[in-house]
Amino acid sequence: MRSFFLLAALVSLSSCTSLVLRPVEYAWPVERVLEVDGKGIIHDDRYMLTMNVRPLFYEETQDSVNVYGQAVRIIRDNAGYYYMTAKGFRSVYIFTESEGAMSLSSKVAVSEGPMRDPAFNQRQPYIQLLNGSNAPQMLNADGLVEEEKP
Amino acid sequence: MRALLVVAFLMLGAASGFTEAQVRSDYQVQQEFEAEYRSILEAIRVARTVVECVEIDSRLIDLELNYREYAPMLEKALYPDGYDGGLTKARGQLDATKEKLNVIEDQYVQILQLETRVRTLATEVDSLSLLNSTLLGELQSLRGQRVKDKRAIDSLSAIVIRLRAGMRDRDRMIFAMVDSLFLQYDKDVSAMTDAERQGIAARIERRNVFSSIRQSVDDNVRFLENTSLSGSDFREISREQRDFQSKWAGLGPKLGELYIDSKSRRAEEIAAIDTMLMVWDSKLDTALWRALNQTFAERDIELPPFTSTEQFLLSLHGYLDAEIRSASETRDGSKYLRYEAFADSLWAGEIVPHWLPVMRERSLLTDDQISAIESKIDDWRSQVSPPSMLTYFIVGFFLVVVLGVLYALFRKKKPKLPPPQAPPSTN
Repeated sequence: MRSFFLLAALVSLSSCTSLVLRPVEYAWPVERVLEVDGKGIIHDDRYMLTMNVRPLFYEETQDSVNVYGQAVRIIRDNAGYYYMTAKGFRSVYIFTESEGAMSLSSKVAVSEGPMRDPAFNQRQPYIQLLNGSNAPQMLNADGLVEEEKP
Repeated sequence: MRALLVVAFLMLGAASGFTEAQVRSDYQVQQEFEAEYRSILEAIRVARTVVECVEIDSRLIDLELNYREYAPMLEKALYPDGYDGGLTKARGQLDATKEKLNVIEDQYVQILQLETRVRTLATEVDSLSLLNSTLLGELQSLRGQRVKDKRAIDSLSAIVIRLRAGMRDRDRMIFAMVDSLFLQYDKDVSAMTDAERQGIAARIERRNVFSSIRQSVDDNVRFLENTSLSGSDFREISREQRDFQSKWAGLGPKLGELYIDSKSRRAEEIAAIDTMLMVWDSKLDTALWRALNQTFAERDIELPPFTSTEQFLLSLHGYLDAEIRSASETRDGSKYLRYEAFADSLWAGEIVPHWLPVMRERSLLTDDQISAIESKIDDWRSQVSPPSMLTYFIVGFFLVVVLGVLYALFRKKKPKLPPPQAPPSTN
């Protein structure tokens, strides 16, 4: 009897861990441009997403105070990674979801100077980064994707 | 490897578009679409006339056409209706408004046809403007190279022909488009309500009427500055310019009335277009004098350069006077050849049939001035012309008469001889 329960527990545990639903499309068709409120929070109605972005601004500018009204640009790729940046940033931050938080997966340096007019486009399997009149760049969760040299 | 190729393709695609214009982000496209969509829904809500309903119908068609290439992205991005759902919803609301307003279908269709014509013409004007700009660029570049070989000259001529046709069509279409816009209201501007005035003003903006007219005049001026034309070309171009001017003379006051009480800058722009047309007119004269100078020079007729009627008459009369003087002093046959090169080959062969008509039409020469020139050419001819057959005949006749008289006189003066005596008889 005891061994039966042990076997049943093992079967149930193994079935829980091996159940995988595929495919899942996490990709957002278009980036969201979200304004930071007075508490350093951004909120998106469509994807029901609310997060504190003060640490993001602190990481980039060492200033987590003057964030009110800034526009954070955010997009999600097909694998579920979140790409975030804002005007004046030099980097794109790539996050994954974790329990009640966003964890930094990688910080990608994309511009030598502060970006004047950044924007993301969904170009599966990549995320395209535009910055005003500069040449567009392609990104994935590992960082910048270089063009193949002939 | 495959992924790298995809990246290369995406980057190449982005870069090639990027060289021409800054890439628009999908977000920006979505925002622009949503702004126009919301504005259309608001227009449906406040529509009170058939013309407004037609205008909304047309805006929906434009919206669909302009964003067709982004439809897959917008279908996912627009929540909850999506792209197709949103357009269907707007059309449903428009139908409900039409029903509410008791719009008569025949009248609606009639106005819709006019609006369809406006849209078609506006698209054609845009594409012709683009083509004309490209051709003008090519023309300037080829002229800058000072081409000499036949192929390049042929290519230049082909560009000039296409450009002229393109500009003529565009000019015609702009005014046809504005006509169709005003026709939909079927009343004078003075009789329009404020809402109707605002409506037509908005549509004039949406169809870029002002910028098209400015562009058209600019292109025509650039064309004149970059081409060498013949007299008959000038005649056609001058007629086209006068046609444009007279159409604008009809349209300008209408537009002026439309913007009279508004704070729009368009009222000033109407005056600016009047000035541009005057510049076009004077550029046409300048180009004509330049080409006429060139025509004389190509025939080795050395006239002092001229840029106005007074200068032209002064140069030409000076030349003719000098030639007449020289003809009376010269005795060899070259004087007749010089006369022939000017009078028969250039004046009668080219200036009279190709240049005088346009100069008359543009009031650059009067009939009296032309008669004075031709009378001087006749004087020159009389100095150099060999005697005619009639002269030979008359001189010959007189010679014969004189000889006859002399002969008669000679015969009269001859002494009479005594009659011969008969020989004596021998019987």
